[in-house]
Amino acid sequence: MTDWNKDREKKIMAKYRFTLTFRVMRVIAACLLLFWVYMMAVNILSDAANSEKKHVFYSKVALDWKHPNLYEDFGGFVNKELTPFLTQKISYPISSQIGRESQTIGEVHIEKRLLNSYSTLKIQKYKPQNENIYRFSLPENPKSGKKLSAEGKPGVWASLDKIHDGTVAEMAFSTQSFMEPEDLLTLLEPYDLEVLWMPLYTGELKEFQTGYGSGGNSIELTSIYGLTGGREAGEDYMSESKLALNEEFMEENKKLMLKQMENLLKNESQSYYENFLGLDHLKERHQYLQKNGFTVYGAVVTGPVKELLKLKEEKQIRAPYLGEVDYWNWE
Amino acid sequence: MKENRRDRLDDLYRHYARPLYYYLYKMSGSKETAEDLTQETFIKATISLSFYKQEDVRAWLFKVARNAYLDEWRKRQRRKKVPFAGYLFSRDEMTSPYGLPEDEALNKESKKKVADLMSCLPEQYRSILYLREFESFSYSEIQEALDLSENQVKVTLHRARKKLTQLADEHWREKHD
Repeated sequence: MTDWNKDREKKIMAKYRFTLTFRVMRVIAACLLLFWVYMMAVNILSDAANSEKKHVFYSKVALDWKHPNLYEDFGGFVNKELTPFLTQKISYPISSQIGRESQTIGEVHIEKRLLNSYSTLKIQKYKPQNENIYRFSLPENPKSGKKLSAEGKPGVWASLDKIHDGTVAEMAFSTQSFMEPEDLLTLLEPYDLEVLWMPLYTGELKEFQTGYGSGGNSIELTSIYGLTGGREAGEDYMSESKLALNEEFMEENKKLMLKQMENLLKNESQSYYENFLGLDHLKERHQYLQKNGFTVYGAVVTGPVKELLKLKEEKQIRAPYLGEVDYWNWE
Repeated sequence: MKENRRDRLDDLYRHYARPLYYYLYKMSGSKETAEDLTQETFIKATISLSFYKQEDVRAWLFKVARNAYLDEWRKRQRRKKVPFAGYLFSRDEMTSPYGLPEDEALNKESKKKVADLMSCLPEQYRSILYLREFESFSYSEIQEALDLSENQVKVTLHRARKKLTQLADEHWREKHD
């Protein structure tokens, strides 16, 4: 046992340090490789399942129904990311139409987790003050049928009067009575305007209870659905189409809205459309619309400011709200 | 702080490198294997440091060394079953944990020394004799290093000594007949 010396000790210690470092690096490399393989497999499976495209499509449908004059930039870039915990992070830009032009005003951020209850759909606007400014007053009490008054934003007509006529704007208003969408379009036909969205009465306070604000003799519902151009997706959500909101496609728009409601009710869980998409009382609203047809009580329109000002004389129109104003782009 | 801990660990390994090397040399019968197993012992000890429960450091390191030796033996046995593995891996001989066959051992030149006769003993007998006689381990340290109870230590030590005496006796008789 005399062959022990300092060199042997140094050799053993150096070899130990080198091997330890090498093994640690090997474990790290193996973990990274495993992680890479895992992420690749997860991405391939997710792509094959088209689940991201489905979430994007239904988020756009929810946006159409719940947010007046807010829609995705058609053909805009959809940013997708899948986290190791299988959360799908999706974002895409959203626009608003002022006059004939679309303005990108923010982004939709979707975080679709495995559990719908923890999934979120958020709208992030570039200008925080651009929150939803529109409110629509019910023309009558749905239970009693008693006529209700409306509270618009004061001074809208005066503002429109003073704004230079070389500008375009968006405006929302309520109507004196419930109307069929076609009738409202006919009423607005003489004006050089574009109708973008119409608040729908879907049985609130009559068929089901929902939140509302009341100012004396007026009722403003807090959660409303609206009628706009119908949206449809092709097989596996690979292609999408959106119709215009005009008389020509009105029947088609109604059918598409009912169809998407049915698809959600039939194929998705309640937590998916309620917690994730924010579509409350979908079943009750769908039943009401199927049974009673489509009834609207206002609209969001855009066009030249002086054309909007003309609506002041329209007896059916009340409680106006003025939205964004832009330079002339009306042809 | 981490640097300090690493230095302390290095000092500890340096301190026990020699006894561990000799132990593993005694167990494996090869200097190269003993060298490899000593550094392997340090790696395993570093990796399993979180499992170390303030027991006797010396006994714990010898326990790790013994496991490293047994693992290496098993690995080599598995390799033997793989065709052409002998061309790829080191062909250093290694003493079996079960001990060499007595006839073969008796014919070896090295059997002249009593210590060499230990290589004929099973691994447990060899370990316990080495730790007790060469490293002066106490019974409790042996208990810890070999995972045995106090009674088992006493019985195994007795049997190991008896077996070694028997081997030495046979060897002496053969030489003088």
